[in-house]
Amino acid sequence: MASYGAASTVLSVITSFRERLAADMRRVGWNVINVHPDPDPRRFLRSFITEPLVADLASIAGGPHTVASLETTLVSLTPEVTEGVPRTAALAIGTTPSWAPITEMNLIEGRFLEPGDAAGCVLDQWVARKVFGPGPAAGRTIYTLIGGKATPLEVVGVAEDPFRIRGRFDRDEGSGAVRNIVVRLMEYKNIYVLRDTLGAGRPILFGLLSAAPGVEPAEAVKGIRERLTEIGSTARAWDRKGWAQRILGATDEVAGIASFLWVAILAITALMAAAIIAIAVRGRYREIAIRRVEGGTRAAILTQLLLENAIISVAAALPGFGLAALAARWLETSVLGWPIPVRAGDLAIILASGVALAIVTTFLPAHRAASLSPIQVLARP
Amino acid sequence: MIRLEKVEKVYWEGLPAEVRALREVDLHVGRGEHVAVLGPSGSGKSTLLHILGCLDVPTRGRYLLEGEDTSRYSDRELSRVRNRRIGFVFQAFHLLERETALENVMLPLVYARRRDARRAASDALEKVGLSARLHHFPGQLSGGEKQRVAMARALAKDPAVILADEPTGNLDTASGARVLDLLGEAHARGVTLVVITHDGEVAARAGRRVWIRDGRLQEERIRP
Repeated sequence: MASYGAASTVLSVITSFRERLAADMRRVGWNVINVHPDPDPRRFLRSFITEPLVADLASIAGGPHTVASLETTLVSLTPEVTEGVPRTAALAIGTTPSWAPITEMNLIEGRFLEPGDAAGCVLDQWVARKVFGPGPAAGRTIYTLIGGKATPLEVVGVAEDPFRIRGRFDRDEGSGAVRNIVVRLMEYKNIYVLRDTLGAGRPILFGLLSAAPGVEPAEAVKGIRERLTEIGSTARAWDRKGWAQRILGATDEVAGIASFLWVAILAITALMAAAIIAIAVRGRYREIAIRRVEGGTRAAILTQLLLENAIISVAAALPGFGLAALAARWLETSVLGWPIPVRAGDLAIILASGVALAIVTTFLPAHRAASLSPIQVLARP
Repeated sequence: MIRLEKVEKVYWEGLPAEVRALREVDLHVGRGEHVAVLGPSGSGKSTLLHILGCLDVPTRGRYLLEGEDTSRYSDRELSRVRNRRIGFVFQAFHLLERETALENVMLPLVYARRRDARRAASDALEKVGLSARLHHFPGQLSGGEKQRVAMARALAKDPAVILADEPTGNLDTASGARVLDLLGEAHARGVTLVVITHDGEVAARAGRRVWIRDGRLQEERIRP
């Protein structure tokens, strides 16, 4: 029973994790192509991004484009950095209003930046929650350390966090400053401002392209890379869809390996059950001999023992599945924070596996018992 | 009804521990006969009963039951013969301890896929005087009652032959007499009876007595 419960819970968690991650990865904009300088300092100087270059590359992708300057900054509710005032490290992205439609950004509060929003900003949900807590952020003022001075900005909108899966596990960490800012951009812990707000003279460090309808982003990236090679640029171009799919592929592999957990749980249980069944069947030799004397064939005895253990296995599964449902509910509300549905299909797989293991482990002792000579068994004292 | 032709049973044949339990046994038991098989311990009585009951097969020779040679029957065929044609009554009763008296009597009927198994078992228990003990477990019954349950189990399937191995060996005199009466009643209804016994009184009830010694049928006497 406990094994059924444990196996069902493990399978449900693995399945729900995979689904959750897949849903999250679908929200990162699968039509988007990122272009940025090579993070390797040895090639950085040959990989500058310019607005005309991005526009040229966008003509290959066939869709709209935008560019961005980047700066790491601190976000605070007060202009003074004093003890006890919470500050949040964020990446400031100086861009254009077209960033939101190109990235298929979903705003949960307010709107995205419009021309003239020089004193406005849009926060990623993660930043908004860090600074303002669970309450509304739109319409409130924050201070950012842009260009080394505290700059007040009005929050005009909050962008939904695509990575819901991290909701419960996200921890403050101090490694942000040492990671490449382009990598940090994909963490969705950003503050979006217009380019002029960040500073008109700042270099462009990011180009955002969108593949035209019907154009596969991966194919567009091939053309973009060929163009970059032609002009001698070492700038990097990659599509988010491929990136997301590689992550999901890796997750599938890990999930596949993790799936052996529930198989292992059932297998270990089956081994223990096999020993118990062997002893139990041995204790029934006399009964089996009497059944044989009274007309039970070897096949009938074998079938009876297999059926008995299959029924016991099914009977153990039902409360086990109840336990799994309770465990899944507890994990959902107290530990993981995402829905963990216990699906009938998963339970059917586990039930079938459990019954099959019960039959396999019963077969040998049952066959031996059915093959014994009843007269020899009954002759024993 | 029963015909053994040159039947031999050898255990561990060809090995140093070889045992020749039966040697060229010829025996004919007619329909409705009551035969007692007597002999000392280790003489081959039980082996003979096992072969007659299709619980074992001869090493050599033929065993014909109602004209059919069972010597080369498969397990399924032997099981069917035991189930349909032969009733067993053992000294140790051999009842299923975790089943009620009714369920014990139903056992062969269930294997025979009889739809009226419950009713037939109930009737059989009533005939042996245990209608008040249908739902008792063997542990709740006396020795005599247990043997009557075994008798009911043998009779319920309406067998052609009843094989009884020391049926009164574990019973007191009164209970033993009751069991012998029940066997007698079955015989009177035309059931062929083969009883293995040490008990002269039990043997005396038989119409015919057969002695077995060292695996050989030594003597056969017919009661006038």
